[in-house]
Amino acid sequence: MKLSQIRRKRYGLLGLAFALAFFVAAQFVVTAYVKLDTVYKHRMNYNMFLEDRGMIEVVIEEMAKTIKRDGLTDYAILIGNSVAWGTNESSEHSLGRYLSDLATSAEGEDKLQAVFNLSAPSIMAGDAYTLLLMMEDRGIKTDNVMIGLSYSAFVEPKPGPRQVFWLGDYLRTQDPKAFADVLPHLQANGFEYKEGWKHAEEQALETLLHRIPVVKYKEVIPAYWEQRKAGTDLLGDPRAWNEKQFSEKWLADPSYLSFFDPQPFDMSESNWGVYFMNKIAELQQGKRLLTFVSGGNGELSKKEVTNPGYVANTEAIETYLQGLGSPYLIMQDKIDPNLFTDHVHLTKEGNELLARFVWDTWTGKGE
Amino acid sequence: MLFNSPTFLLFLLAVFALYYFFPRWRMLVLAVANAAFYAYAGVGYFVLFFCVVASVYGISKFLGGSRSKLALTAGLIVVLANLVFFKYSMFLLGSVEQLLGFTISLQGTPFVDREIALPIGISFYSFQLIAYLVDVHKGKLKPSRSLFEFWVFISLFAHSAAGPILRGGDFLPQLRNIVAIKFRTPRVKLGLAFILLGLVKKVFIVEKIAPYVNEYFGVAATLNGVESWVASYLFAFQIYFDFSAYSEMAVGIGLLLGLRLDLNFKTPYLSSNPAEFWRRWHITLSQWIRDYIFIPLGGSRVKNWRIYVNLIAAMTISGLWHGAAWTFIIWGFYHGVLSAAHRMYGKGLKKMGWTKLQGNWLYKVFAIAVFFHLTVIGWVFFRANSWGDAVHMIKQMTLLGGVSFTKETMLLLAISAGLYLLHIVEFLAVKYFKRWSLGWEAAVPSLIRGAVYAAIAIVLLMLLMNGEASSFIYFAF
Repeated sequence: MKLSQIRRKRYGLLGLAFALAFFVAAQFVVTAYVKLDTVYKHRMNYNMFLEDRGMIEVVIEEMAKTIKRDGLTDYAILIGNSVAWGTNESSEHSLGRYLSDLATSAEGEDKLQAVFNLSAPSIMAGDAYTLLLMMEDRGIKTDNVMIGLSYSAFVEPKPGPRQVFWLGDYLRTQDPKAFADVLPHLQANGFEYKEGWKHAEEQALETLLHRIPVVKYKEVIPAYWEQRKAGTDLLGDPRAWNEKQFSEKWLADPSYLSFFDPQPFDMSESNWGVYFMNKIAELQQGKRLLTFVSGGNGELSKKEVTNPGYVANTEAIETYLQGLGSPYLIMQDKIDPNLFTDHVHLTKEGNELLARFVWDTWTGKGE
Repeated sequence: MLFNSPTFLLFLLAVFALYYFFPRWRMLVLAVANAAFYAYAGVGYFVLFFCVVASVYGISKFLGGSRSKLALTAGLIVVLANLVFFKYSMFLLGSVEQLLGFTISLQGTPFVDREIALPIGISFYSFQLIAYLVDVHKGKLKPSRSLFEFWVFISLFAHSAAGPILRGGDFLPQLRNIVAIKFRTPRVKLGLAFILLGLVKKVFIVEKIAPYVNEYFGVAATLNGVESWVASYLFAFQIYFDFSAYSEMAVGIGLLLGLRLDLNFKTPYLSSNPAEFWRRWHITLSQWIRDYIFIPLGGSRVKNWRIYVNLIAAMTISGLWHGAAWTFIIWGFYHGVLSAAHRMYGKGLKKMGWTKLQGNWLYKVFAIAVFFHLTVIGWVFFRANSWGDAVHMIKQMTLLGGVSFTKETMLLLAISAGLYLLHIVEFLAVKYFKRWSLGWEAAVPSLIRGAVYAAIAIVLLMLLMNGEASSFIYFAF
């Protein structure tokens, strides 16, 4: 090679220009690759969400795109915790799938075009409220909303799970007033509150870099491939609880016991479960809202669910939901204990039955 | 601001653009960038840093005159008082208390928790300031022309956090010529290559092995022999790749700006003896220790026993420079003893007429292997959380307690071997850099090169955005 050619190569910027072109092209390829089914199948990919909770934005965005593309107008949104997500079962056997089947196969006025399940383990009323605001922001109608909670959503944390477990940072932008109200509780329960320059920097980076698709989807594609490689999206053990071992130690664990805490509930707005349910009810004024509260296993957790304190608190929840004026469902003792996989999660048949209960209540055919 | 954080990369991009768009204002751009870079870590520490720099600059005006010695003393007091207060005061207090067997109450003082946050880069800028004061005092260096120039020299963001330790004689002339620096594509490409190399080392190697190192050293007192070796091998590579990553990024940033910063590492684990090791490991610190401690102590121009004492003293001070803990001091002392022993050994070989042996390749390979393991043993003192942990690990590393492998230790030993191989590859890449880079640019089509660059950029971007960037080990010094 001649010296002049070498010089031209060393001074040339063609390699960098191609790199830039490839980089830009990669953004288009990645954007085209990610669809709703990459991040969602009757429920969102929880492993992906665990890796980066910002992925909830991708799920909502893809839902909005699907709704727009398919021209959907009659659909429902389901937001709940691990019971509604379907822990210990695959997505094919989850509440989201069965509810979707019932809704889309229904006849007449009841028929819905889709049920979008935005549930995830540990989701609390505060997360559900935030998600509704985020969806409205994205142009997703929240005309039909089903909220799934559990008894523990009203237990006073001392300390315990945050009442906005996952989405505190989003609540901060969606409803600053509610965020300011709940902040002391969040901070007391492990929420990392950033302010000043650190917060501004984080926000700026988020805004800037998350516009780059390879950054935005950095958790999505690997998690999708991982799930495909595994061949299942099952999380947990789907066997019924009585086919498994639950040690005395497990049943005496403070986190298990706090789930059924029998201390009398304060059902005023100083209970964050009530505070956010009120917010949801306010948001759903003039729209449809159904709330169901999953029950505990009547056999495995018999001692806990028959405790007079627990029974009284369950009645207090019922009285509160009655006051909201929208349909509700208290699931305690409505599902056979044999259809539980543990103290609260359900088997395939349990999920199917729960879907039937929810759907019947939604359509007014239930109790 | 960490070099491996998106914030820094955006900051660098902004500085780079301003630097070439406004060539006449380059000093101002750098002065402001340096201030912003340092203030990012804490405004209070920035103010302190600036005050120390300004004081030394003011004092240095009296150097070279009739009161030069007094000015030198005053300057050294300012620099060392700042360093000792922030870095060593609590260590000294603890040591005195231990020695005298009582505890001094700090209740009611701001130091009640017996911790003082260390300003970033304090050890590095202190050494740089000392070198400047001494050089100007000795007439080796003309004093800086203005506080502005002095500030840019001492605080340049590319090196203020963890070196390389710059000398005024090398760097001030570059600053005086800064307006004339032209944008040269090959130099910018080389700078980008250095930055990329540093990022790859940090993100692909250091971040992957650090959890194992932390885990093993966290339970050091329970490790067996093989596990102790695994932990030490991995730490040896963690600290090398971490610090060389930072240093190479610093050199790369310098190249982007058309400024020459010294390389701090030259594949040090291929050294066959302590003297060679210190010519290849943290080179700018080694040179500093040589010029400002070892030589003033008498260097090699004194009696043999004094040379040994000087070597041990200089290396012990180097250990103390790294951190205020006995483990660092022991580490430095250990290297001092190795240096002295090697000197003694060299003399023995000479006496016996066996110096030719050192030219034999087999001997060289053997010496490299032996010295690498001696270095690895030294790292135990450096990294161990306590003296007790270090002693336990060293005892276990004799393997007298037996040898037992698990699947994990086998895998980690294989990874360590792979990292050493990578070290050799790095040596070859540096040796044949010109030929290989030319071959890469001349023989590989631009399209393919572009695809490779884009793939690296994408993977790096994804990894850099994966949670919070982890700090560099030497930022703690």
